[in-house]
Amino acid sequence: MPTAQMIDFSDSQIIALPDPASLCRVLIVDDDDLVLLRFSALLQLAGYETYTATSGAAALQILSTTPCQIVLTDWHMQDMDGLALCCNLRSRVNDGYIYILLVTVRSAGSDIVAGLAAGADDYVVKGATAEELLARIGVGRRITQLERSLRISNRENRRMSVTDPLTGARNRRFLMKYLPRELERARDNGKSLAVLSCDIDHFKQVNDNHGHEAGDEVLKAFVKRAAECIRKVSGWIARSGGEEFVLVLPETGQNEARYIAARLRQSLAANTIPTSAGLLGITVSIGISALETEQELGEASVLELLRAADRGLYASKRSGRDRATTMAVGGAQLALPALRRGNS
Amino acid sequence: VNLDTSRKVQLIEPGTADEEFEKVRQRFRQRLLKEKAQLSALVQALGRAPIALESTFVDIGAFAHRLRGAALVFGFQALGDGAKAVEQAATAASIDVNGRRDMTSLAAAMQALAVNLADEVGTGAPCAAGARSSITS
Repeated sequence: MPTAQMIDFSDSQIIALPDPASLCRVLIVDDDDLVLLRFSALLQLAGYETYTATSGAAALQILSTTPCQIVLTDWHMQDMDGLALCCNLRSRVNDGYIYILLVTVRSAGSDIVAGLAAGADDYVVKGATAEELLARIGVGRRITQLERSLRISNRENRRMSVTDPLTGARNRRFLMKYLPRELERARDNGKSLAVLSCDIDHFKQVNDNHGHEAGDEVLKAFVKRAAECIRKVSGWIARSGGEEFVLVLPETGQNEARYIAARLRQSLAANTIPTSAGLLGITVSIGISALETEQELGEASVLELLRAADRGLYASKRSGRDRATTMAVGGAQLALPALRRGNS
Repeated sequence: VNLDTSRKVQLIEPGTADEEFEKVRQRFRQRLLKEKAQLSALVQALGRAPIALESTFVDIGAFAHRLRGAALVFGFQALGDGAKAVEQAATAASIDVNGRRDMTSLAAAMQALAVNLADEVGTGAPCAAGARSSITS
């Protein structure tokens, strides 16, 4: 099961592909070396980067390491023919859409239908002019460029739909979608799970006294500090409200959660936040809840976990703010020794 | 040159489209000598067998198909048509009650193709008008 951290919204895979604005890779597949030479020369002169393979199997091998936007393939080849190559490429999950152009001497209508049904996007009979071939490859280039831009746009939309645009933290939608998955994973692995419910103290006064720009800078700085306190690999932060945040801490028990809360408070206390209104000092109230035992993991729900953390947060607020309070899920405040700033 | 490679293929020296086409086309013309020899071998194989082996027909069909494709790519239309006739005859040759194939049309097509190949190899004539602009050309 993917963890929240494994949901990758980065464009790393897309960036790994050639930039269509400057480069388009074409893999040419034909069992005749001179035909490969001819097509390579033609396409290179037209500005394409070309790769060659003498069979469908060799083509798949190349595509496994070198993403190409367009595959221009012959039909009849030993080992794996062009139709089998089309079927194979269409059955795989590729980084991006691969535009397939079948180039063959077979010109019967039934051949064209069979080629397109196997997954080819276009079909050219050998003997067509160079201009026609280049024009058809140009169509493939346009389509793959369009598909790439749509993919980037979709990925960005997905990222934006679960991200708080101001702070870069996950938003409430993400929290409510992926916290249940974290709990399920914790159950499966028998690992503990903790959440910290955080509320920046007197944040309204920051906005009222120093302006919303400074308030925004404080929120961003808070997320940055919080990110420095949690495990980079598994932990994540969601903005659940205006100045409220939830830190989700997989594989973390109560003691470690309290330590993280103390580190966060210490970080905020030790370093004022530079803003457009000058250096501002803030504190945070925190509620802690954790599921550690098999029984807790098995019985508690996500809402109960969050409610316990919220009860801890309210207890911290009622007790004078700038502190962390641990609450048992479904129970009362835990009588744990107080962790003060600087204590671990 | 290993043509199954994930490295970028730089098979040609930069030049004009016509220059590059002509270079590869000349290599194809040189290869026709081998094609001619291979066709002769296939004709002999066909003649030797009283009951021609199925594999011989398959070999003839595959040879003709490959030659047809390359010929069309390099603008040798007549050669391509001749190879197509051989490919179709090899595929269509029917088997009689004695297990013999009717090789009349196949033999005639192969003979015609042999003449075509001899013409191309012998004359070294430039490609037909219009071939330069096909992918062929």
